[in-house]
Amino acid sequence: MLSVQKNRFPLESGNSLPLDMLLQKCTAGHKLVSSLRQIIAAGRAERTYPKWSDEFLTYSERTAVETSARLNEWLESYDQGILPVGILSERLSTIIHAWELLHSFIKPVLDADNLKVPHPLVHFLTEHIGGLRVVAGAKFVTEISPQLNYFQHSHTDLRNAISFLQSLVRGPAIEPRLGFLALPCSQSRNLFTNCLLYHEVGHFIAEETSLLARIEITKLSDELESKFGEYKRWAASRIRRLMEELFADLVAVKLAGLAYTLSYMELIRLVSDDLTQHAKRFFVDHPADALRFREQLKILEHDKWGEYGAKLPQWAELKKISQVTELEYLVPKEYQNDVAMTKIWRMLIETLCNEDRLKRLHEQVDGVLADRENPYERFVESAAEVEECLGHGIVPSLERGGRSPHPLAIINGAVLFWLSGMSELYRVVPRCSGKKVEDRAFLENRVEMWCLKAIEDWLIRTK
Amino acid sequence: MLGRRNIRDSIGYVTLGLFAHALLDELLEAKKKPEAAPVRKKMMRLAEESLEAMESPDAVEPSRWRNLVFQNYQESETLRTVLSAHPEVGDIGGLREILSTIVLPNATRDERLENIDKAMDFFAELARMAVINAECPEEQVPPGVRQLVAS
Repeated sequence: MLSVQKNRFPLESGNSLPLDMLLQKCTAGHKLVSSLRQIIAAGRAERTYPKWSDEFLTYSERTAVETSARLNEWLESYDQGILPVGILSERLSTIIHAWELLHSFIKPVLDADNLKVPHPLVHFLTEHIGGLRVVAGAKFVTEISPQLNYFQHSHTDLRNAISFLQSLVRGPAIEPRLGFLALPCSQSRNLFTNCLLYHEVGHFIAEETSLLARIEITKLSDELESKFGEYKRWAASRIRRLMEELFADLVAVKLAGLAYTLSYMELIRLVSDDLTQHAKRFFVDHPADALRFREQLKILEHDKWGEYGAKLPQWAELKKISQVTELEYLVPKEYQNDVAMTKIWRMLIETLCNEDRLKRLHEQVDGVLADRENPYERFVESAAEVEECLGHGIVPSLERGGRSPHPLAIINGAVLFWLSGMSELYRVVPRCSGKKVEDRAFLENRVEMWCLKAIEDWLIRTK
Repeated sequence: MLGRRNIRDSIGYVTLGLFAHALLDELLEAKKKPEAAPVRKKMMRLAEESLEAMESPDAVEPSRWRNLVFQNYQESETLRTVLSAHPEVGDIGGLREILSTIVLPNATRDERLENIDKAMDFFAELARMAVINAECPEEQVPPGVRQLVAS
């Protein structure tokens, strides 16, 4: 029988029944983790999951079992006078928060079974990123997100939280380099828009390499002292967030090539008719698209995409959008009528856009991805074959000269074909008119399916 | 209250809370046998190293950063807030000294106990603040920021 006891960590607000409250909290915690465990078990019994998603679900199940066991142990420790009531109570709240956090990952992972994810793309992406020296062996868990936006997912910096939870509840270990890829539920089988998953890879690499961590922030804070005084750390944290978004873009475009930038532009085009104006606006957590495109173009040009891109109307548009002077950038909408915050944001934008800072960011990306393959080189190897196959309604996995198109060639070839070559396909497919929305959607979906099949073929042949 | 906000925005605070409790676990164990240096001290060492990284980032190996705490704004500001409410701990250096004394092999029993108690008070408060902040993770613009451009 547990007893109520006094100790030096009192609960707040004069609660007279700490034991009842503790039992209630423990019970709530137990019910939460048990329920999640059952949901995971049911999900795994009914469906199959990509390998690393399954690992994550197994980890969560086992951690749930250990959490329940610790809840009982902690209550006993409290009863024996070892664990003070205040600490126990806060610990229970923290554990519930930790499971609330895991909860927000578990459900989207359970939704992303093998039938709902573009498996070949995710498989290739895992091989591609796991082969990079800085994140060697990286693995990715796939989630299905309810939001139709690839850039608004909270970062998946779960690693430390999981590691401390493991320490606290004596739970199982998890794969040390585990990232999360969130696919909007409506786009989960697509290829074109899912090129944007490389942006999440960029965040993952930023977290894994700690490139924008303490040392950078300390230096940035020192630089900001003259402008922001005692608020230099706040300003540095704001700029850090914006820099990480740019970093993620640069990583994405360096790894995936032109397909990333074009898919990004097409996504924005869906929500804005006036890209040039829309692209000038900063968001609280995201730099203006004009700045993002400008920095992406630097990499694309360096990687020699300009030669090919110049044939596309989208390339000229990208150049036009990104020609924005610093003063033309618009502050986040929530501050546009706030004179003081507009001035503060002008200072933040000026700091972010500093040429040396952006140059350093590019150098960091170059350093981290020193061993990457230039996607353009892969693309030119097989661009003609991919285009020819897609133009005739054939899966682009033709083997020529002992090699079949590399997935980076397929992805880039597919996006370029989608944007400039579909008319060819409308001509060769009987009864499919390029003037009917249903016909266009049908053929676009087919192109994506053929390309995913070609990536799968490549994986089967080479991995 | 659960469900009032997106918990993923609170990830830094949840991480900080879990870390503080994992460290408190080690302190509770150390308190049971204060005559000897604690056997389990992984979190105490991690705290020391993380505090060192805050004071002098150049002193810490870059490959270690990814494992450290107090790395983001949420975590480091919570730490500073709790430090300012605990004058007996002093600054970041003072907190490091408290932790290093606990794990020091030649510290006396009384020294160790005194420092364990100080550390427990501090990290229990840190854990409490982390839970409170996890409930309202929105990073508000500090009120004084506007004063920067008032003139």
